Amino acid sequence: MSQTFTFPYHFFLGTDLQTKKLVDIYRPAVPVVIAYGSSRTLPFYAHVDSGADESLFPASLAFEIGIDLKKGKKGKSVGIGKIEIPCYTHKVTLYFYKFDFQVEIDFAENHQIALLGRKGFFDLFKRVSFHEKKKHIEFKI
Amino acid sequence: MYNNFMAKLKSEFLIPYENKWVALTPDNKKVIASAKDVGVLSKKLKNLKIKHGQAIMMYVSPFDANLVL
Repeated sequence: MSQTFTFPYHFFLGTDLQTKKLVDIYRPAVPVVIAYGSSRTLPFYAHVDSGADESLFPASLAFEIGIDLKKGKKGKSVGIGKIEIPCYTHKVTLYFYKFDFQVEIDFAENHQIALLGRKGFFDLFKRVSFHEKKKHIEFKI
Repeated sequence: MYNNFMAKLKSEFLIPYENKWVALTPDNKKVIASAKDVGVLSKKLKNLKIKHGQAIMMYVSPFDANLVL
């Protein structure tokens, strides 16, 4: 049986490009926890990023749960500036809402923002909908 | 995306923490601890004996740039 649930966009601080004043910015970021063996992180906000092929997290989160980073499958991620980031893929448990999933996540050093991408996150759901006016994100599983 | 109509910014308390990881109280209103790196922040929270459900961590992205992820 399918289930639908929503999360409000989370607030961040940014600059209004016209007025140059600081403003609240709302982005689709959701609280998650990752675990490896019996070790797990504290909850943290991760951006739900439909433009990301895979999920990419800071390596510090991997170290935190006892992952030997460079034992993972080596790869690279490329952002919009065509800057290549070396990353290592590891299988972890992702806790999100009431669910836990076994997923592969890329971890990269010198990378700060936790991104939930299409493979290993979006593909867990029947539908992921962004509601910009209402500032919430809806998941159907 | 922007909300220009708030007299007081909801995120104003994040001003000192640009480019840092912070741990927020569960109501998202106060910062418990901060660090340049999420691993260092986690260690700080362990030392403070903060448990699951008592904090949520977030990265405070640069204020002067749009995120293009």
